[in-house]
Amino acid sequence: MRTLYTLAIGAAALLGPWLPAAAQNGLDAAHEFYFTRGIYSDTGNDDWGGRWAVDYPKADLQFLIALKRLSTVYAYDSDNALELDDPALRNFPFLYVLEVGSMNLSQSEAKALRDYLDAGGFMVIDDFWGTWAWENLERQMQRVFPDRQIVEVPMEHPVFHAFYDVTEILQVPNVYQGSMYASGGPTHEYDGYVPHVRGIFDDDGRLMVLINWNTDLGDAWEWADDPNYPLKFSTFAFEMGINFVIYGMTY
Amino acid sequence: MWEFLFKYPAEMFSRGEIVLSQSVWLYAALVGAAALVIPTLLRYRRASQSLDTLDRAVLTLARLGVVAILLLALFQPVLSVSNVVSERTTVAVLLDDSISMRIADQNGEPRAAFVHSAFHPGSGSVSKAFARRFDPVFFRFSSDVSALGAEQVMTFAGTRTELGDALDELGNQVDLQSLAALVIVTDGAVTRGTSLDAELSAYRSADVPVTTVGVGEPEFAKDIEVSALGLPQRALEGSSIVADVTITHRGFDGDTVKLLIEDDGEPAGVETITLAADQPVRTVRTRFTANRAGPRRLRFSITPLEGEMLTENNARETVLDVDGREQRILYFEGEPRFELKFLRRAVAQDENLRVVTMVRTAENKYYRLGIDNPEELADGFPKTADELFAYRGLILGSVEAGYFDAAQLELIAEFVSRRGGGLLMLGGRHALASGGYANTPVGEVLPVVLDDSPEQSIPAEVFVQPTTAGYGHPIGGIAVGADGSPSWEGLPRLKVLHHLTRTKPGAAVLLEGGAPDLPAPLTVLAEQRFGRGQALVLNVQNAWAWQMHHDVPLEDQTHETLWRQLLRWLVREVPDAITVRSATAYPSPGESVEITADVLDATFRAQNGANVELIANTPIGDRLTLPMQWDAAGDGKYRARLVPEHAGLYELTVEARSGDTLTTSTANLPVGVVVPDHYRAELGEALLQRIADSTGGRYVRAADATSIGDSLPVSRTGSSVQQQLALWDMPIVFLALLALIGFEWLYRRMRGLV
Repeated sequence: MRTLYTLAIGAAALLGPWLPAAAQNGLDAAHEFYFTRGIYSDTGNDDWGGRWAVDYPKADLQFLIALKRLSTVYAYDSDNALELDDPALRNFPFLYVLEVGSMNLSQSEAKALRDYLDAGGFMVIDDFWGTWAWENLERQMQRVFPDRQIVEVPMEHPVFHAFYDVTEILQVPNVYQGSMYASGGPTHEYDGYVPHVRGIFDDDGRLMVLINWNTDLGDAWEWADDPNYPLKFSTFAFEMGINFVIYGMTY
Repeated sequence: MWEFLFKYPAEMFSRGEIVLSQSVWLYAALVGAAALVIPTLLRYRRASQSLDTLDRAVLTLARLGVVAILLLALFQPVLSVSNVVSERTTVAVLLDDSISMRIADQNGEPRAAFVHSAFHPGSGSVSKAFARRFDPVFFRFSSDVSALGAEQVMTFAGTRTELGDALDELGNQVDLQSLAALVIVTDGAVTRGTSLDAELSAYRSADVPVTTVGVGEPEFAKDIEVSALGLPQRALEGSSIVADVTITHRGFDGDTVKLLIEDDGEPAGVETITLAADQPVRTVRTRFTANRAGPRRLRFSITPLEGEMLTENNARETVLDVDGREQRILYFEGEPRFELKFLRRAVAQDENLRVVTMVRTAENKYYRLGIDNPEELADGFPKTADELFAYRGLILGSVEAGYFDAAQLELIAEFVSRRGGGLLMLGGRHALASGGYANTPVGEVLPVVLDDSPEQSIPAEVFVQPTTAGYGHPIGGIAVGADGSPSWEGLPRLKVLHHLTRTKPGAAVLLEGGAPDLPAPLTVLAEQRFGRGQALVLNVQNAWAWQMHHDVPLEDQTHETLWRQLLRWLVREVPDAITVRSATAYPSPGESVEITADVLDATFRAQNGANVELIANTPIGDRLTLPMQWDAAGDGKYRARLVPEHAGLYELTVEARSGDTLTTSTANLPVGVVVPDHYRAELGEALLQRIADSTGGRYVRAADATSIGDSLPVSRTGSSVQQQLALWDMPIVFLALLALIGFEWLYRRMRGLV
């Protein structure tokens, strides 16, 4: 599986000079925020390579453009992908992980992720759909936090109001369904009909893990420049993402 | 012996002048001398046949010597000396009545015994000598002064030796212009070790020589003393307290003792100390935690050792006012930063610290955390003193000076200088020089020099280490190894964006950071007092690495301790609008104490027209209310005198009313917990010598005190006159005559000339 990751990174590298120096040493001038994507082991039952790399890096880069345009966050311009058990991950307290339906954490990754979150890191999970994916995430999170429950995050929680006041959870479709939305197409995938924002809290009531289930914020960022993708969903996805960053940098 | 031979003390010869009397006796003496010398010469001339030349010379010289002495006597030599005469004959005698006079180091007897035998108003030997020449008046002193009659008994129970106050008070009770001299009999172990120059100036002006009699030994043979305590008067609950304990020891070189710290009677710490011969006075630094709110009685003691001269000085007590109130600190960030998140987390469990956070998340958009109500900081950073001065501490993160208008920059500076708040500026791309704070009022307040010099090797990752000053600071103890000792080596490097190497005069660098490519360490943490407050700079932008870094164990508390200690330090001495002080630190029961209150309004400007009351809750539960009078000499200053009758803690509350506004503040006054006179109780010769030298008096030790009975230096002005003291009848004159005559007789016998 690691070979696939390497191939994925290598292939992506050909696309442009985006490999982050920050990821190598955690010290790049004075930037405060690095959009860090988690590389994890998965079941490898599909032909996509590493599922961690879905929408990568365009979603990350487009989100960073919006983040820098709309807020004062002094963000590093490029992407920053790290394996979960890379010690350098601890230099970046914000972590984005997606497509966790096929996540299959190694012992080392589970422990590293637990330590990362216990130390104060904040993880946002995105883009996984339906019952089977949820069940897999639950299993993976049980290995990370055997003693912590996943619960619904109420709408009055600060994570929905840190920058924008989000009062409703929209289901954000992928790029294909998004383009069909105007003609009455569905927004869900599999049996993921209702979007949820759930979380794992620490002992002091702070969110450690934020789970966006049955929704695909990443696609909305990635295809925000596509005229066929509904602005409504891109706007919502950026609002949610910026809220997550501000929350992750203050709580 | 001198006085036996020469009739008068040597001191009188030194300040007098010997002259020959101009009278008819001069001429009679010349005639008489001629009548003696001529027959003498003739006689030896006639006898020349039977005497050889040597005999003639010796006998002639002996006889001429006799004639010369007689001639000198006939010339009536006198000692011309300035002495007091009847209209200025009062001599004041001031006797030390403090408890240190009970120490038995005056030839094995208590110092008090000497005072009684030599200076008792009625029966003292020196007192009697004074009475023959002067009109002595006696006073006793310790913390006060009172006249002492012959029938009165000194108790030697005073808890203080306030010599300065005694000199002032004596000047009020007697007319200094009428005094021929002042004699002070004391051990010189004064409670407040000042030079007394101000108090003595009145005596110098009135030309009253002050003679001091030192009682006791200047150095004990064996003693251990807890001489001083250095620790804050106030602290926040849960803070780490650094206490400097000064220990003086004599005669126990090489011994090991234990210094015990007790908090309201319960053990709070212990230090093992070896008493080194080359360090008779040493300061031991101890740390403990102020665990409970309220006034805490702290006791530092060393178990008495065998043979100590004084055991009461082996312990010292003080009262630490542990503040359990929540301290509100405003943290303003110009942009979202992880430092903010982790700082908030670090102090989240600290009930004494409330960090109110305002972070600028977009242009003119703020995210507020920890606010009391929706209106708090709704308009951005405070623009008025009312609003800003409600906080006790202020943290500025990465926010450029240009964000603030000129009035706000001035307000921040006044937050420190006038309000007495604590300002902490963090490193960041918009902080310090990079943020444009050089040459601004805020830059003036900071402990570091901000300049535009080219930055070298910046940004840098540095290893942080305490400086020497830092190790002595609570911040120096935040990094603790497995064995409990300081351990900074294993901490991750931190990011520094500012090349700070210079600090302001008076500033202290507590932490510095080094790296192989840096020519010199950079300043990481510096502080300085500024006006009523203090300002600190923490020149890193990712202290959170000490929490998140892979090499830091999850259970490590260095990061949490850093922020807790730093923020507690920031607000530890921030004053309230009313500051209550006692002029006497450790009064004794019954002693009058002046209580001062500095009363300020909400903007921390002096308030002169307030109605101010002092409410004292006594240790036995009584409640006393005293009006405080405005002191025209100082803006916002009010005074009252309190006489605490009972030992224990007095809770002093000052209430100031101005219109509808009521402001209160409380302080604690420990009464009778310390007897200052038990400390530094060795004979203070240097002070007594200085008093005598500066006023024209003499300093004598107790053993020589009888000499001042007849030779007391007295005032030379006003009623003083020149006295002519006859010298012809000095015993030395007659002894010399007898010696010469006896020599002549003996010589003749030996030479067979008789």
